[in-house]
Amino acid sequence: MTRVVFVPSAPLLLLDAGPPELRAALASALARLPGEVVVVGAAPVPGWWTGSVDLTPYGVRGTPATDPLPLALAVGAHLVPGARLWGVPSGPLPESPSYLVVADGTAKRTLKAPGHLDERADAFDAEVVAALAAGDPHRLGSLDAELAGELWVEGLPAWQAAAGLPGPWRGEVLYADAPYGVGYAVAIWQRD
Amino acid sequence: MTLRIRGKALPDTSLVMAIVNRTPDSFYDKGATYGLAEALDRVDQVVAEGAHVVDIGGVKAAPGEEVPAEEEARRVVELVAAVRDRHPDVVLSVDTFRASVARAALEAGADLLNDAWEMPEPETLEVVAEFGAGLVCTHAGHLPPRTRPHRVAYPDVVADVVSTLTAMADKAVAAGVPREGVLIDPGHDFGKNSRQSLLLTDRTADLVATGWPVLMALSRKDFVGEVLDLLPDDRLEGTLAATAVCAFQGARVFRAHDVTATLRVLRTVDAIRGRVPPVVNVRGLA
Repeated sequence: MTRVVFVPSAPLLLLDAGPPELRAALASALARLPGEVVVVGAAPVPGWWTGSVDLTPYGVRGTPATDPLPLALAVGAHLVPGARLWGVPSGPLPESPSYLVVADGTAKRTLKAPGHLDERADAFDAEVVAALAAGDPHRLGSLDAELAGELWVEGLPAWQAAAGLPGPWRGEVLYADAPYGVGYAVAIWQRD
Repeated sequence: MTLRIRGKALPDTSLVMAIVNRTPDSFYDKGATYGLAEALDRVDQVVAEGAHVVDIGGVKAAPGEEVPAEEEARRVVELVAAVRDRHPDVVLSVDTFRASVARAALEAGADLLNDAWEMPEPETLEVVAEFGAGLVCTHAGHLPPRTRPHRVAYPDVVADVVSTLTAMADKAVAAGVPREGVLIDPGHDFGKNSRQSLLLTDRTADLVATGWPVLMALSRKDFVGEVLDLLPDDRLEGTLAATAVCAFQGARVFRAHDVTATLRVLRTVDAIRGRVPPVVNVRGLA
């Protein structure tokens, strides 16, 4: 069985923070990943990454790492210690029994959102959640890149990479909300 | 260093010792908690607010009506026993300069002796050691209990405080008082004018550098009042400013009338110093 788990890319996940409903959904989704996992996340350089989860750029006290991971891969490494890390955009994803796709939606869902309110944000995130629920790679790969940029979506490269995984998938959304004005989704795709 | 008072470990954060006076005449509360029921209500309240230590006293610090040892013990022991029963886990301190009252209070379940007058009765030390209790060693300018400073002068007040308190703390440990329960207190206003108390506040780091945990009793005292020309009722902000300055430099325990306000200040200072993380982690991290 192959599985793909989708999680947000929020720095607060590195601090094990976030609302209880999100934490519960994450725990539930991660528990369903088999042992061998490839993390897929946006990175400045495509391909395999190794490095450290460095919290000092976010103000946490400590010694800065000499090999800090980019945010999405750091979140993946934090959630699934020991996972291999793949930076996107890239060519086709490496073969793996399972993937952790670290990506989140718009940052303009509410008046208090990081990017303030943009009324197009709800529909954009709803489209993402619908694609995840349907297990539809084509739909996930067809998001409007220009609009995504305007809505501060950072997850697009990872979703586009996941869209290259051949289906069909059974999709299941465990969490979809914007508690801090950023569109978060936790979802699972699986196929026999 | 972890503070452990008569077996009770305290968190490694800045801590609040709440003042509960079973006195008819203390300078700020003026008898509000003299009655047993009122005192117990006050204890319930400060524990609910999050005080780590409750400090019970039966004699006001300043000169005033003479309180015989039997009367002081009656006031204190009755309350200690009742509090011990209601709040078995809170660290319970007794503010007295009398060995007999210390003994009675420790027998009734107190954990810590807060002798604010530089221990005028030497046998107090054996009593504290006998019970394995904690001890606050306080600098009172070498004055007898309940006296006001009059033209006090020191060649170097900070050096006097550091040498007096380290000697007292070493002597306490040598006498058998558990090291992890010994604190030092520079004794603001006790045998000091306001400038001397302010200097000690500014130089908190020198006290912290001794390695002994530092207790600061600042709450609504005259040195704050003289800075601002305000009466005790209006000294909260000045007290909290001094609290922040001392906590920033590493003082550990703050004896306070205003528990919630003091806890909020200490939590903020601890977060600034990286001793505790913020409770909420969302801003800029979503």
